[in-house]
Amino acid sequence: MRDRLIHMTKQPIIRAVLGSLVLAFASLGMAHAEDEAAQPAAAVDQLPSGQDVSDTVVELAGWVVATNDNQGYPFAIIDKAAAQVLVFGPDGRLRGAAPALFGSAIGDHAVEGIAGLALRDIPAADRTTPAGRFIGGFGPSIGGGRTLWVDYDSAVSIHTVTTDVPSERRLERLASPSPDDNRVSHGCINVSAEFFDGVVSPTFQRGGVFYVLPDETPLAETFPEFAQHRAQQRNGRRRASR
Amino acid sequence: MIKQHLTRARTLGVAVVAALSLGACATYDDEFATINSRLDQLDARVSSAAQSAESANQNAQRANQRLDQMEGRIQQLETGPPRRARG
Repeated sequence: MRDRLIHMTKQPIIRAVLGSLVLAFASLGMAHAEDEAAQPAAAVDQLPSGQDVSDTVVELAGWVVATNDNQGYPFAIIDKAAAQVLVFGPDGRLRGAAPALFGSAIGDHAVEGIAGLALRDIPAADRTTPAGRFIGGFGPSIGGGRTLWVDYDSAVSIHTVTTDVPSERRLERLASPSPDDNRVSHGCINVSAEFFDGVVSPTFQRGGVFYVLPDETPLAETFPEFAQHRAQQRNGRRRASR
Repeated sequence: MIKQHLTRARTLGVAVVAALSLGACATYDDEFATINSRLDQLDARVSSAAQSAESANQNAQRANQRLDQMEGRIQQLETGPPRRARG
């Protein structure tokens, strides 16, 4: 009888202790699940280790969010000089950042009629990735199926890195930490398959805005409103520091 | 005998507290790691820049026009004639 009593006493204590342990770990697990749900499922950081993102990119992203220049659509900021693509959700949360390949020619222009030329007929000097604000989205293409157009008018799209011409060594260029060897395409923006399928494609299914920073053109010409705002802010800071 | 069980219960109680503390440490470490991740730092920089830019004015009417233009443009892309991308 005494043993049975002890047995009865022992069981609830152990059950209570085990129960509290299970609850404790279950609640920790739930906290992790919530964290994961709050984070975009496909958040990816593929930028080379130690590579920073420029203040211009950050300030432009902040300006886009503050002014709702993206009109509730997702957006990407593309920094050709640093060979980076940053993808933001409609809410302005960063979904991913990755290196990219761009047009082999340094420059920001798009020659009229370039979309009608065969790739081999595009003059070397015109193989640029044009700079500016572009409303992009998926649409049909010749030979590429459903394509995510950045600048449809000049036939610039963003897609998975192509390996049709081995001598171009696109995969190696994309993998190298230096942005200096990332100028190789006829104008399109190439990213890794993982980044395109995991971040870019799902984010821009219903279109979005692409901000391509210029190589040479002054920022005031490419993004006049942003440049004006930036100048005002800097003037304000200077006045405040006096 | 009852004293022995009380001792066991106390030990288990200490184990629960230790487990919870360790769990809390793990969560804190995870959060700390997350806060320190490069994307989160970037996100924080962008949020800060957005707050600084909040004073930037935008005409509501122009914003609506832009939205209409965007929607129209995206629809055009979906249905436009196919062309060859520049690789």
